Amino acid sequence: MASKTIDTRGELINEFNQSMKPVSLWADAWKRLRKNRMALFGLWIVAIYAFLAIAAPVLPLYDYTSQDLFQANLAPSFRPSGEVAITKAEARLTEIQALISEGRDDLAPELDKAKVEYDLLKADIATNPNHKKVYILGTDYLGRDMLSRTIYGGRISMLVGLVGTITAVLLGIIIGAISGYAGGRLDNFLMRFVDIMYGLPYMLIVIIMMSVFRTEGSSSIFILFIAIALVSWLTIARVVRGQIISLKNSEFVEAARSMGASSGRIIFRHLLPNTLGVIIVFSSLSLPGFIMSESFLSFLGLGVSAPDASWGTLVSEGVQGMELFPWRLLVPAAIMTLFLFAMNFLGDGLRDALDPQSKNRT
Amino acid sequence: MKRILAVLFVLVAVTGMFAQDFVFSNASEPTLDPSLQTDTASTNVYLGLFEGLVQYDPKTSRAIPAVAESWTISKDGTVITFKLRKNATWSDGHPVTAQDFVYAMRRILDPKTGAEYAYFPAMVIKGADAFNSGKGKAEDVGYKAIDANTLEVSLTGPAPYAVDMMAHSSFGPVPQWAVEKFGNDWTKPSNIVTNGPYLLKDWKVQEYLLMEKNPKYWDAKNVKIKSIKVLPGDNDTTNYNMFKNGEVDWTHGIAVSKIDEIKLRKDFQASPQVATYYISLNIAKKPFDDVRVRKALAMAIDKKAIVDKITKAGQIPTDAMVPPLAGYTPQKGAGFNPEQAKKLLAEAGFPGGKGFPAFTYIYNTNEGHKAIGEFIQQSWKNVLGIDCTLQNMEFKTLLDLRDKQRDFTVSRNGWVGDYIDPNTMLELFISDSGNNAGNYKNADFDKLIEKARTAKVSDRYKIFQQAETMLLTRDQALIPIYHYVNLDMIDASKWGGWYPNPIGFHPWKFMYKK
Repeated sequence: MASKTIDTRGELINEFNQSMKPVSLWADAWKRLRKNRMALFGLWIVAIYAFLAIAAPVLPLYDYTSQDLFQANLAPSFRPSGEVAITKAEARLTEIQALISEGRDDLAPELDKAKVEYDLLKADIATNPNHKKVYILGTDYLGRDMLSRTIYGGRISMLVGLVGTITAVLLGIIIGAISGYAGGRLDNFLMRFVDIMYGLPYMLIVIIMMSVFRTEGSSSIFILFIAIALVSWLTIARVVRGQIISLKNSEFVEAARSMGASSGRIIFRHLLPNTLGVIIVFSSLSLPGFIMSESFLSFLGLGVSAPDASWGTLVSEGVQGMELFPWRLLVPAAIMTLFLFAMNFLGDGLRDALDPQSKNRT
Repeated sequence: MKRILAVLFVLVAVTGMFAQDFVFSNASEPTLDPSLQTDTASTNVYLGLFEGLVQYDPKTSRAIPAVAESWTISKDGTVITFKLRKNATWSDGHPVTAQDFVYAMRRILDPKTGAEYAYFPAMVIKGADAFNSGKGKAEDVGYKAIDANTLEVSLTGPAPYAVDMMAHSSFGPVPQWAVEKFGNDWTKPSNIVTNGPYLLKDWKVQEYLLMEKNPKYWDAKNVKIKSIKVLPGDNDTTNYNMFKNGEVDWTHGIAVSKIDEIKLRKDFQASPQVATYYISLNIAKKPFDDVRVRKALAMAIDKKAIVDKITKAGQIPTDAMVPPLAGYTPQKGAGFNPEQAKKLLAEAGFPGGKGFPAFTYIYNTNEGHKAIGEFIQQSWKNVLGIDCTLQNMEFKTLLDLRDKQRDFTVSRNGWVGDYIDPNTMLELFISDSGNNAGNYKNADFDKLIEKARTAKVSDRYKIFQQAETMLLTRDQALIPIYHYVNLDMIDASKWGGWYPNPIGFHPWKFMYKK
């Protein structure tokens, strides 16, 4: 056991007469996180995403709801969209002409139609400033910019993930800690309540809530938040309760109690910091989970409604035409995957950094 | 290992030899009981298993002889006498008699059966509506078996389309003895008794339904395809890929997102259909009770753009409910006119969309409906400054909300005509129609439709035109978007007897391999 003394200047001194700065949990964690390359990479990615999501309204993006049917399904390109559209229309004309020269005379009306479309497009390009826009990630089936749709979709997806995680963690910690620390009847009551909530079919609750609280003319996203919050805290409450029970009879709790610390202080100052590792791993893993369940609900028509989008709806729209217009699927899918990866690396790194048990491992 | 492979190879070869002649991808699982059918997927199977008095002509969709070998219509056009052929039999050997048709008609009309399509025969058969609504007696229904092979049908008026209607499954025969013996289970493969060109061989729900040629069928020598496998494929992309791979011979589910590619294929068939895609506005709700609002909403939508750039399969943009028919000129509602739309909305008290209540546009989950919904949402916002929310839901939920509870404001809607006549499109909007989702209530309109039922053939179209003028030109009770086209994928160089037709039903007995 190293003996510690306090010198004349009031600084902490170790046995080799070196001054020791007190290191807080967070400073210590940050020091160790910085050494973890993957976690740092994850942190950067998450930071960039968060910046884009917050700053989206002031960034020079095209309106994510503005449609232009002349520019539907354009491939990613750095050229002005008018040129891309013309190239596409020309390719269509040559394709039909080639088929006709192979003897498919029945396609003649189709060729006429394509020619009319081509002329209309040319006339529109001459007058419409929309065709000067550059879509670096292409456009969707109504000619909307994929870049701004993916960024605005990310806002909603990340918001859903964040709201779900925060409510889950707050509710879960409070209920789990109280239940575990108090024990006895209260514990029994709370845990049986959790059991009942577990027993209810999640999707059914959400569907019932959506139809009961369906209001004319408003988006359903807030009901979605409530629905997610309602059931998301169950698992974490149980995990925290287990941790608290295993810790509540340790010496340091005994010590705190003998010094007259209140139950609240013991729980929040002494017990919870020791369960942080579990909570952080759980939150970093559940955030992608919430994003996934939102996309599933959106597919059922219970999530975000058009023209708003989330990564989930963008992917499910993209799947419809993936053979002909792969960018409509690949762009949101790649961006979503990168975020989920980054979240997982960051969560893993945070767990290592914050775990009090691994404190002396460096 | 080699031996196992060889055995496998032989097995595959042998099963390949007994493979079905024809594979059809139906849109969903069918209902087999003719009285309870409501959708085209069921009718497609009905056309194989059962045979009514008359049959759809594969080219024109008009009635041609089936169980009835001939019929005569009385001078005033209200009584049809069918002469049934003597050699028509049920699969269990019973002869098909006039009594079977009388029984089936009374059964579908009986309020206890709860058949949704009972309204269909009830429109034309005398006494049927009264019996169906619980006011009349079964004996008063205008279906009389004079003898085993003569059936006398009395109509509510000289409806010239009545015989064409009778090809529909709701007029189909039902074997009384089988229904009485097995109750609701009579349509199970082991119990079912049928009279059509095909027999139900096997049915594995969500896998396939197998039909095999009926050797006892009166016209069996002209039935060419030996067996038909019907798949319940409801995913259009899967259907298309299976068709491309040759696993399916005919499919009518066309993936909208691949239409550019599909349109250039030789085996793609598009033909005009008696059907309309439209938007229902709930007239019982404010401010949609104001005709100026409805007209403004209609004028803000560029229907040609929807057809040319979103659906892209040759649909016909329209301002009318009834598609152009020989001798019938559709009467139009408001067309695309953004300036006029703004003016009308301002007159109605919402200049620039200010103060217009928020509302929801509902549609059933489908990529095509979604794209159209988003386009209309954006058009209303850009032209009129009106905000609306889109909400998708499962089809059955939509039907319940829209048609039964009428608890909606604006909804996507569509109607496929059951026969070639303006009546099939217009009678939806009579006050007490179960399909009048928008709650359009107009006694004059009801009277016109009623009048057309009993009017002389030469006057009917004029009366329908008056009714459509009232419905759309004057009241704009709904917003028509386009007339559907039948979209099918079938290789016409391989299969004969299949023709594009206006109703979209293709009787199996005429089809053959070239």
